[in-house]
Order: sequence, then structure tokens, then C-alpha cells
Amino acid sequence: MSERKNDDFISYELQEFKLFEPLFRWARKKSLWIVAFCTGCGGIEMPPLATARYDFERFGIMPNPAPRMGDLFLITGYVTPKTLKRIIITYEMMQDPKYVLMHGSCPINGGVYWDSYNVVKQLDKYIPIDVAIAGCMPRPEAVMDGIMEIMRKIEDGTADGWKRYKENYEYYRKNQDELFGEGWREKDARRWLAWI
Amino acid sequence: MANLEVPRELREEAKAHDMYLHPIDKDTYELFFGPQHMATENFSIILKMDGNRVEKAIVNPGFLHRGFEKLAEQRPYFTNIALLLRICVPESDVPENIYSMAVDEIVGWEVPERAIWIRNVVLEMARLSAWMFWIMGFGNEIGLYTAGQWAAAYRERFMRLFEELTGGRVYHIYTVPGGVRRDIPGDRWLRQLRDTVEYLKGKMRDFDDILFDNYIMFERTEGVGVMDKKFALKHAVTGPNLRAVGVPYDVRKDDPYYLYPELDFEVPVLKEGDSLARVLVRRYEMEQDLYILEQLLDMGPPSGPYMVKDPKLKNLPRFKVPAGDAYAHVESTKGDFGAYVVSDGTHKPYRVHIRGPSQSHGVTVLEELLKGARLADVPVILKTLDNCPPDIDR
Amino acid sequence: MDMNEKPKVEEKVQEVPEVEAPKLPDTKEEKLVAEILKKAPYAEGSVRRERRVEFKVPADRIKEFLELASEKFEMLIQISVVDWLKEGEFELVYQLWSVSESVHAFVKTRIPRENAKMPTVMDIWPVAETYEREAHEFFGIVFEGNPRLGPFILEPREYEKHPLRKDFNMIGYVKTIYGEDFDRYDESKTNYVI
Repeated sequence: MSERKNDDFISYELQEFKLFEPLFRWARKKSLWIVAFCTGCGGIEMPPLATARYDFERFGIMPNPAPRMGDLFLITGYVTPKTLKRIIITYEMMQDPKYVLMHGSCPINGGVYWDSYNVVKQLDKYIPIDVAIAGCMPRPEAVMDGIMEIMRKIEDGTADGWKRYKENYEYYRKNQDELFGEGWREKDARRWLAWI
Repeated sequence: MANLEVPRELREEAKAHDMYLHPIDKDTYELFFGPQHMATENFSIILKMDGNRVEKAIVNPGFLHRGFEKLAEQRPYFTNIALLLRICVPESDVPENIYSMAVDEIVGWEVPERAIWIRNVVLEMARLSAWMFWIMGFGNEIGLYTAGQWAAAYRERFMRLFEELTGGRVYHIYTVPGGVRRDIPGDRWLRQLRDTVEYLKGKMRDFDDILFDNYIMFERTEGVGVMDKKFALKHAVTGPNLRAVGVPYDVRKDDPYYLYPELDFEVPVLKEGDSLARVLVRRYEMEQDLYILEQLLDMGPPSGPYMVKDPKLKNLPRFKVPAGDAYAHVESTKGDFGAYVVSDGTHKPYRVHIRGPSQSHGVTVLEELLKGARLADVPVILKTLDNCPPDIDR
Repeated sequence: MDMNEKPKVEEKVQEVPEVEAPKLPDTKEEKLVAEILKKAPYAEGSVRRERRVEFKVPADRIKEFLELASEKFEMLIQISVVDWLKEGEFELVYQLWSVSESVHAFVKTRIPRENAKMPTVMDIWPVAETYEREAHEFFGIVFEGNPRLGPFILEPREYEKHPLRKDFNMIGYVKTIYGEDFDRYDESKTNYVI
């Protein structure tokens, strides 16, 4: 991954399929699968969202444990450096196009844990974010609103975090290495996933 | 899949650092269970597997560590309530209550009767909503999704009541040292609570049919993760897990607080010590909790203030607590939840130490119980121990 | 006048526990304390209130004492560490619970902060392994005989700092790692808003 340069990535929206792009966007919008990596305390509002009272399956959203099949990455609360390593690896394992929804005040600026030694303060320095929902905890209605927002953005084509990650990979990589120290992928991540 | 082969030099380098790249050899391999797994909830177990059997389990917590105990030393006494309740997410009233009880004891306050009644009702509501959450998790683990859907829906009733009482769905910031933050909204709320209790009582039968009396549940849990009495006591197992091995220890009976000495309830005890016994103890306790709430509602809220009257409380950020220390604990659905608060006479606590039940259930006990279990039993053992990772990490 | 008044006040303060003390020998707590102190004369014991007793034990005999106490107190609930920076000491509080007697005991001992060492109590209560790992991680106390000391909850970088020690400057550490732009000042721009 480190050898990738800014100019040699291919165009994601292939010219031949330009005509079908609105159809693809509509299809992506209507079948968002969530990577079930409920980080932090916001994970407790996922069951109400998924069940009878606020049933999000009516929007085509489904929790799914495998990152390879996920479209939407929900970050549901504060992120510690130990989790952030896993988040980055999981995010990189997801297939394009992929979207990130950030949930709660803590990943935005630290929230209540603004002076904690073990909570990441600004998550968008390390991975690109498409939509952020403020509040602690955000009510399920707020999360629904965030999901509607990301659907709107997918339709517009403005949910482009995955493109930004590739274009600005060096920036994100620099921030990640600053936080974890050089070579964390080789030291830690290779232990979880030998083929990285 | 061809590139799954690990280069030899990498393998050697890893071995030099005491890391094994899986597969270790032909039959044994290392499996990383979590944190990206629904059953573990931000908690990772490194399983050394031999085929389908777990040979050795190493618990790797710390994904939720926020340094609460350090942060609590930086904040004034009353501000800490808004912080410490985040330790136990499904049952956030428990950390509020133990911290408030410990501070009450150091200051030497007599908490008003009305506040005690409200605190007791809130704790029992929190217990019931945590039971519902547990049924949801457990039902999903063993594939009985209907029970999970129902339980999450019934939990919403408690969420709505909590919202009316405190203003928050999950985090209530309600119990404070000296009483509670505000009064109960009125008789309508009490009527709604009674309706909810009645409603849930009627639904226990349905839960029996679909989950607790279900052949699938028996098959999945019987004889899985067995512990005996001596092991449980040496490993400081508390709560329903201890009562499932035949020790009738319940903080509400043995170290009574609030109105529990006046209430009539039983402590269910089974002696098999396997996952099935742990599940059934929880089911009986749920019934007892409904019964306790009913009694509390029959008693009715005593009249009087809901907060201690103390001139020191006028300047809350500078509210000083005399030097001393106290330990308070309550019975949560997960076990014995305790707080040790040390004050040095200033307006910030000198040390707050929270004891979560999962500190013993989730590390040594889990590692021992997982030895020899099948891979499919790992989530069952995790859920029947009711492991809550934020307790371990804090 | 002041010289005369002061002793009177002290006398009054001393009198109050003396009046309360004779009530206690009948209670189960007092019997328990007397029984344990009979076997362990080196310790100090007192009854704090109903179902709470307290022991103060010198650090070099703690293991002996806990072995003795484990007959009555079946469970080790927690090992709390308090860092008394001014005295230069760590206070270890072994919180024990007796299931048969329903009594909670604080067993307190003090060790110097520099090169803090304690014998492990894993062989009495296996669960102590977790508590000791945690105390080692956050305070740097070495429990001799515990094989699993090392980074447990924290990452190696934070583990080296032992963050719950009182001399760990949290705000300074956070600023060096996450940058200084907190924007958490009050109106005077001098104090942080918590």
C-alpha cells in the first residue's frame, strides 16, 4: 500500500458506465449494509434501531459482520488508539464504495473525554468521515436522520470519503503513523491478518 | 487464497517476538475472536484452537479504556456523576448509585426517604431493562432471534419511562450524592410504570415458551462452561453466576441498602453451575424484580424532599467532602458492582476505584471456562457469564 | 484561655468513641476482628460500621495475614491502590468479602513508592492475577510471582507511563500526542472548562 502514488489510481466511475451511474447510486443508497463493529457506547442504541420501534431494515439497512461485504461503517462512539488500529484495518478491508458514519460527540472532538490520555480526539484526521452526528448519546431519531443524510449524499455523489482516502492517502498515513509510531502495521496488524 | 502463505522470514521474525502467525502448525491455529464480532462487544479473545476445540484462550481487553479513574480525579464531585455512569452502558444507573452511596457515607448524610424510594425504583427499572438487553443478546447468540426482537421492544417501554423521569434514554445522570436530581413527574408516570410491570408480567410466559423452555436453548447450554462452588468463590464470581453454583449471595440480602430490608423477595439458587443454570437463575430473578417493583409501587413514594438540605450544596462546583474513604456496592444484573471512593478533604475525589463484576468473569473465569469448549460454545459462555467489557477496561 | 479550652475539646472528641465502643463486642463484626487479631497480633483491627471492618497490616506480613483471613473471607473483591504522593507511599487496599458472615473487610498496607514490590496472592485467590495485572499496569507496582505482568489494558506506550500515578501529567501528555487545539477554555481564557 505504501508504494501507491497519488497519480496512479484508476478512475472509479468508469467512463463506459457513466450512463448507468444514477442507477448504481440509487441501488447503493437502498442497500446499505452495516459493518457490525459497534465501537464505544453508542453500540447500545443499535438494537433499538434494528428492532421493532425504529426498524431500519425498511431502508434496506442490515447489520453484517463481514467487512468485505459492508458498505457503511458505523463508528458509534469514542475511539481509543487500540480500537483505531482495528478500525483503520477494517476500513481498508472494505470494498469500494464505502461510507463512514460517525456517531456521538466523542469522535468529533473528544466529548467528555477531551482530556483523557487514551481517547482519540479528532477521528477525521485518521480516516475520512462522510456524516457526523453530534450528541451524547444521539437519540435513534438522530441516527436515522444521519442515515437519511448519507443516503442523500450518496445520491448526490458527495459521499466521497473513499475517494478522498485514496487521493490523500499520504496525509492520513502520516497522521496514523504519528499517533501509533512508524511500522505499526508490520508490528501489530500483521499479527491479526497475516496477509496484509 | 493463494497469498495466505506467510513468507518464511516473516514467520521467523514473528516467532522471535513471541507471536504466532496462524496457522501455527497443521492442526492447531490461532483465531482472533473479536473485537469486530457482535458477540464480544469490543472485546477480543485470542483462541488457540485444535480443530474445533479451544486449547487455550487469552483475553485481550482494553478497547474501551478511557481512564475513568484518572478523569474522576480531575473533576468535582458532582460533575463525576456525568462521567462515571458511562462505565456500565446497559445499566448506567448502577455506577451512579454506588458512587453516590459512597459519597453519602463519607459526608454522613441521611438521604431523604423519598429520594431512597426513587433510587430504589430506578435501580430496579435499570435491572429489568438490562435483563431485556441480555435476553436480546443471548437470544441472538443462540439463533432465537424472535426473543431478541421482543425483548428489545419491551426494553423501549422502560426507555420511555426513563426519558420522562430523567430526560435521557440511556445515560440518565439522575442519582446524585444526597438524593436525586429531580422529582418524579407525577401520578401518571407511576401509573405508566405499573402498567409496564403488569404488561411484562404477562409476557414472561411468552419468553418461557420461546426461549427459557425451548429445546434449542437446552441443547446449546446444558453442560457447557461448568464451574463448581470452590472455583467460583476463589475466582470472586458474583451475581447470578455465583447463585448458579449454589451460593445464595445477593448484595440486596447480605449487605442491604435502600429499601431492600423491607421488601419481600427470594434469591433463586441452582447448583448445577453450567450455562443452563446461569440462564435459568436470570429468568427467575427477572420474575423477582417484577415482584419487587410491584411492591415498591404498592408502597408508594413517601412525601418529603427528594434532595438533602445542606447549605454546602449552594456552591456545587466547590462542594467539599471531608477526608475519608468508603466502599459501596449494589447488586447489578452482572454481579457485585462496587465503588471505593477516597477523599482528602478537597472538592475533587482523591481516588475513585470501580469494581465491575466482569473484572473477574471476563478474564480469569472466562479463560478457564473456555478451555476445551467448542468454537460454537464461545459466544454462549460469553453471554451466560454476561461479560460486559467496559467494566474490565474502565 | 485558649490553652485551657483546647484540651477540653479534645477530651470531648475522645469521649464519643469510648461511649460507642462498649456496645460492639456483642456484634459479629467485633467477634470476627477479635478472632483474627488473636491469631495475628501484628495487625491492627477496628470495626468501622455495621458489616465493615478494617485491618492495618505491615507490608512484609501481608501474605501471612491474607492467608489467615482467607479462612473467614472467601472472596477477594478488589485490590485498590491509592497513590499518596506527599507521603511517598502507595496504599494497597485488599477488599475482602465474607460470604458466610456478610462482612466486608478493608485490609490496608503501605509500601514506599520507589521500586514498589509486593508478594502476589495468586495462590490464595487465583482472581488476584487480574487485579495485580491492573495495579501493575496503572501504578507500576511489581507483584513478585505473578507471571503475566505487562501491558494488559493499555498499549505499550501508555503502559510505560503508569497513568494513574499522581505525578502523571495528563493534560501535558494529551497535548504532546493529540495536539494543543482543545478549545476548552472558559471566558477568561485561563482555565479549562470541564
